[in-house]
Parts: sequence; C-alpha cells; structure tokens
Amino acid sequence: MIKLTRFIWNNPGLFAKGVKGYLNQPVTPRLAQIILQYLNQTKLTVLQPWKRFGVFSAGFPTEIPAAMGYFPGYPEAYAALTGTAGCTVPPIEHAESLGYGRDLCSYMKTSIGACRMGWPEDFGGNRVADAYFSANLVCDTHLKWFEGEARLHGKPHFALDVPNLVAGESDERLEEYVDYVEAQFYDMIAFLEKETGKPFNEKKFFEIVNDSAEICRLFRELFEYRKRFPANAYFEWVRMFMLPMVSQWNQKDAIRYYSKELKKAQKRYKDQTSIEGGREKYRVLWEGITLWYNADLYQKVLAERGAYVVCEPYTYSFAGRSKPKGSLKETLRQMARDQIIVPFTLNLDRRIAYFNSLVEAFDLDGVILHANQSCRPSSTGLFDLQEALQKKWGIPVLMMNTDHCDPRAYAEGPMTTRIDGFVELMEAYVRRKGEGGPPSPENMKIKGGV
Amino acid sequence: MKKFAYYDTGHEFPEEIVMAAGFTPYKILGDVNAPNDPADRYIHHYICPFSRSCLTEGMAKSHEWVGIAFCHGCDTTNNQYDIWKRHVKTDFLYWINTPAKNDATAMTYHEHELRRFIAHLETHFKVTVTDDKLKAAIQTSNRIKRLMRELSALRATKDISNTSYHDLTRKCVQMEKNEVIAELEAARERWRNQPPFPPDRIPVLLTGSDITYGAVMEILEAARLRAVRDDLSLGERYFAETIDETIDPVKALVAYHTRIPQPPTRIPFERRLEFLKKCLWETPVSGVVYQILKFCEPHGLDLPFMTGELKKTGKKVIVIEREYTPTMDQQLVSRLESFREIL
Ligand code: SF4
Ligand code: SF4
Repeated sequence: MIKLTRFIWNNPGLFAKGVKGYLNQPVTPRLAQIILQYLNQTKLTVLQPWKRFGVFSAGFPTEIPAAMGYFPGYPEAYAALTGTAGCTVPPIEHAESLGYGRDLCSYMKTSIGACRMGWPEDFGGNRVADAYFSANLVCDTHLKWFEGEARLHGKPHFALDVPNLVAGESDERLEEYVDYVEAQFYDMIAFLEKETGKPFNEKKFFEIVNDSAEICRLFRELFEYRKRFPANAYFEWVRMFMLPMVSQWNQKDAIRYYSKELKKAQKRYKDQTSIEGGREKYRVLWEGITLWYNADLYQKVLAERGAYVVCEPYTYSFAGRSKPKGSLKETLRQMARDQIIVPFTLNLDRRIAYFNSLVEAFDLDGVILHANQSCRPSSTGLFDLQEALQKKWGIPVLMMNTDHCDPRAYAEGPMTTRIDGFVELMEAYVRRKGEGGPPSPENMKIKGGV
Repeated sequence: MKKFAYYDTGHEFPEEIVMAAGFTPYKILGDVNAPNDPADRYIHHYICPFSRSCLTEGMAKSHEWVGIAFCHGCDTTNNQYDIWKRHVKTDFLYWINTPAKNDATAMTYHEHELRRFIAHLETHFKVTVTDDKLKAAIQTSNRIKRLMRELSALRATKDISNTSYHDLTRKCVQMEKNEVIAELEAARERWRNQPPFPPDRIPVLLTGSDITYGAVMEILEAARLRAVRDDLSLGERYFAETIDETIDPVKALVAYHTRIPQPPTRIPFERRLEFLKKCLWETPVSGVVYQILKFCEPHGLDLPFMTGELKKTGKKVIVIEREYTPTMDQQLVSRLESFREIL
C-alpha cells in the first residue's frame, strides 16, 4: 500500500492513465475482485513473515513450492496488468537505460524497470522474493531473468531445465525427457526442504495438484463453448479471465468462480450449437501473446469489422495440468509431461497439425499470427505455419509484427490498413466457403509489412 | 574424410564422438558475405542474423555434409531446428538436448544424451564408436587445445594480430584435425619469432557474442586494441580446458563441458564470470570490450549483470553493439578509439 501511495504521489498522471486503462478492460466486478485480491495478497505477504513469497516464471509447476508454503508471485502477470493499464513504457525505458536491449522481452523489462523504480504490483513491480523459481520450458529469458533477480537480492534461485521436444521426436524420446525433468523435481523438493527446514508435504501437494487440475478442467470445458455460435467468450475477456488459473492462488475460490461461469454457459447454450445472435461474421484465431496494452484492437478495431478472436492457444496453454496419479512419482512424471508438451511451445510439426485441427473445430475464417519482436519462441516458425495453413485451407493469415507489452512497437495506422485488407480477404474466404468452392491460396496472402 | 556438420551456439558439441565415428566435425558458422535472403523466407528479420546466415549455409551446403547435429543452445537456435528439418536437405539431422545446468542431475542426463547420440550415429552410419576410438579422438582434441593455449598465451607478449588468432580458432572447428595440428604447429613457430607486443597497441579482454568472422577483429585492430584474452566459443572457451584421458570417455566429455568457460546459455552466471575474472587476474589487460551482435538475446540478457560485475574489478568496460556485416564499421572504430584513449 505504501508503494502504491508513493506511486500515486509521484506519478499522478500515470496513475490516472492506468486507472483508465484498467477500466477499459471487459472485466466483471467479480473478476475485478479476484484480480485485486491477488494483487493485495501479494503485497500483504510483506506483513506475513510466516508466509514465503516465491517469484515464478509463467507455467512453472508451482504446485511443488506451493505445497511447502510459497505464495505464487508472477512478475509476468504484474507486467501484463501494467500493459492493460497502458503504463509499460516508463519501466521498459528504465530497464533499457540499465543495459537491457530494445529487442529483449518486454515483460522482463517492464518488471525489472518497475521493480527498480519501486513501483507496486499493480504497476509491474514486485517485492523481493524469498526464493526465485524459473524454467526454460518456453524461453531462456525466464532462466536468466530470474537468476539475475535472485543474484541481485542475494536470494536462492531454482532453475528447471525442460528439454525441447523438437519436430520428429518420438514418444520414447518424450519419456527420456520426462526422466530428466522428474529427477529435477526431486532436486526441487530437496531445495525446498533445505530452504524451509521442513519435510516435503505430500498431502498438501496432492491436494494442490488436484485443485489445479480441476481449475484447468473447468477452464477447458468453458473453452469448448467458444466453438459455439456465437462463441461464449472472446480473447479480450479470456486473457483476463485466465488469471485465477495462471496464478493458481486461492484455488478453491477459482474453482467456485469457474464452476459458476461454466453453469452460466451450460444454461446459455444447453445443447444447441447456435443460439441467439448466431455465428460471428468472422471467427479468428490469434497465435501468440495478446497485446496487453491494446484491448481496443479486439473490442473495437476487429469487433467493428465483425471479426472476433474465438480461439487462442496462448490462454489454453495454461490449462494443461493433469489430475494426480496414484503415487508421487507418477504424479511428478505427469507434471513433467505437462511441462514439455504445451500448445504455446509445440514444435513446428505438432503446431501445424494442432492448428489444422483448430481451423475445423472452431470454424475459423482467419488467423492472426503475432510476430512478437521481443519473444523469439513465439515468433519462430510463423512463416512455415502461415504457409501450411494457407496451403491446406486457403484461409487468410495476417502476420502482425508488433510486441506483447511494448506499445512503441504498434504502428496504429499501417496496422489498421492491414487489418482492413485481412478483413476483405476473410470476406472473400467466407463467401467461397458458403458457395462450397475451394478457396484460392494465392489470393489469401496479405502482402507487405508494417 | 567426410564432414559432419554441427550447429552449436557455444561449445557444447562433442566433436570427439564424430571424430571417433570417422568424420571430420565441421562447425556451421554462416557466411557474413552472403546475403541472408534464403533464410529470411523462414525467419523474421528481428531474429539473430548469424542464425539466419547459418540456415542459409545449411540450405546451400548440406550436400557436402554426411549429417548435421544441433545442440541445445539459445532460444534462437533451439526453435530453428524445426525449420532446418523442413528446409535443409540431409539424411541425418540430430538434436542433442544439452542441459542448461551443470549439476549432478544435469550431468547424468547429459551422459545419456551423448550415449544416445553415439547409438544413433552407429545405427545410421553403420560404424562403431568404441571407447578406444573415443579416447584417441580425445587425445587429438587435447593436443589441439594445448597448442591453442600456447598460441593464445603468445598474444600478450608478441605481435599477433587479432585476425591471425581468429583465423586459427575458425580452423580448429572446421578443418580436418590432423591438418589443424599441422597448421597450429607451423603457427607456433611463426608466432614465437614475431616481434614483441607493439607499444602502440593496448591489450584488452574480449567477451560477448561469439565472433564468427574476421571483420570484427579488424575493427579492434583498427582501433589499435589487441584481444589478448577472451571467453569466446571461437576462442578460449574451446581450448581453456582439456578432457580427462584417464576415465570413461563419455563421462570425461560430460565433465569437460561443465568445466569450460560457460556460455551465457548455461546457468549459473558465476561460472562465466569466474573465468573472466581469472583472465583479468592472470593477464595484464587495460580494459574489457563487451561486444554484442544485434539481436543476440543470451548475451543481451547477461549484459547488465556481467558488465556490473566486471566494472567492480576496477577495469574499464566498453559495451558495443555490432551489426552482422563484413564491412568495417567506422563508428565502432571511433568509439573503440575513444575507449582506448581513456585506458
Ligand atoms: S514473452 Fe516470450 S521471451 Fe518473454 S517471458 Fe514470455 S516466452 Fe519468454
Ligand atoms: S549470436 Fe547469440 S542469438 Fe545468435 S545464435 Fe549465437 S547465441 Fe544465439
């Protein structure tokens, strides 16, 4: 609270901008309450020395440290929220002044800049953690970023090294990787036992794993309703709605909340594929991280043209946690598998097959590929993916060169022009689909860059 | 001897295994003089240009190689394996998931990875990689490493240009190993007879992104700076340590890779820093040149911490970002000259 007050005092204009940004998000009062509770709880850990504050990279198997009493702090979540507030540029520029290059991850720079400037969690910072945990399951940035923070504050860091399941690898290969990750989970348990001075709490662990699996199951089930007409939810909502699942904090409340939302969806659709309002004019898939600073891209620019993002592997990637198995060993092995195969990090062969299934399952009319200038993992392979999708379906694909958290990379005018071109192609595609004729791949390319 | 190519952003690849299988290891280093257009069809322009150059080389030259192996390295290369699989013609493309850590668990796993690689080479090429062959390859490698250490040490006392040193480091990873030994022995004779370290040159420690072409070394030379120590993969990372010849050869390779000056793709940071500090302690240098190739993420991530720590040693540090280009960047020369003035 002190940090927030200081932030408001020092940055009244930015605070006002941030509040406006937050209010522009399509969140319900209940979701806003959950988000605020999470942020407040992060701050309150300072006053609760009996609680341990852990800082985690996104997707890290927090269930293991959580079983030993670590509260899950997520700098990427704080950075993302700062993105929605439209306040990432000052911390990014601050981080750049410290030597972090322009092309490095803008989540990381938002977080590092905000931490160094003493900003609160609502604006990207976070308190010093008791321990730092990161994995390279999506990127090396996670390893280096958290290692750097841990070194700076003289705190321990546990790194989880997750192998890359590259294209063409077999299931046998996957199990070899699982062996390695499982062995590291035991190392992590030993690390936690040393840090806390307590034996590993298996009972608590199973309870947490069970709850996280339930949260993910509910989220996945809700995601299914996005296949209906109209979709149950769009990206601008889901990207906020996923926070209880991503944070895995207050799991019981998350289960209650998601269960209620699921009931609402069940009531809304019953077993009909299409309900009042009917199919969207254009149903779009978004690949990559959302543009946190630009809710209006989805809720205005695209929506005004009749295009809605009904599916995105990004949010779904957080919903892959499985139920506990019969033993600790088997549960850890399953967690390892869940770490290695994630929609966000699929190898190119699997990614293309996965996208082909999504085009059908979600009855898509277009695909937006976010070529993210500060995230190598999510940008690599996009040209091949584009080509494969266009070849198979003739579906329009828009390659959007920008950044997930750095608005300086978003060129509004040229981008809107390209979106207009994309929508025109979708119009032709939908028309052809309606006529039952084959779409023409050559006509589906959007030329030129931004 | 046929060439077996490898793509490695550090010094992770176990050349000795390929040598024991009867091939000459060839490190793919791209060609800064060739345009990257072929690779640019598959990789965005904001992704490391060196990696795009390597893909361009792979697409053009893979027919010269019996196979290609990748080692887990930076995010750039890790994610590009799949692109190579689609666009580079080869009968044998292999992925070695070298660990990012150096602890006991990682070492056990690394050993498994290396034994698996051996098994795949044996099956595919119908060869046998015996322990004796591996030991012989290790001895050859160690000979090269010892020679390179001797040569490298001469940099601080003799008039050895940056480019001459760089040329040898390149040969170490691309030429047939017996030819390399002959080259290095000849160079040793020449270098020993070189005039002493020129008074108008300033000795520096060189670190940062791997330097894969001579023009970068020429820039240093033009600024009258001499890299007398470094921790580059085409440099001391490759030869600072020798491989244990007395134990199981695969275990020896695993242990070796934990001892070498670490690349930024491995954690913890300290291992790399320790080596750099050791260089500063062992060899009188006037400053540190920390150069980064544009879009090189791992070095970009290391930079703030590493430069901060290096500055604590009391040495002056200059950070420069360079483009991937064979032309002499006069602005960089001027900046380095100014740096030279303050040393
Ligand atoms: S945005 Fe990309 S680089 Fe940044 S933390 Fe996420 S996966 Fe890593
Ligand atoms: S120069 Fe940097 S980014 Fe490029 S391949 Fe090497 S380590 Fe990776």
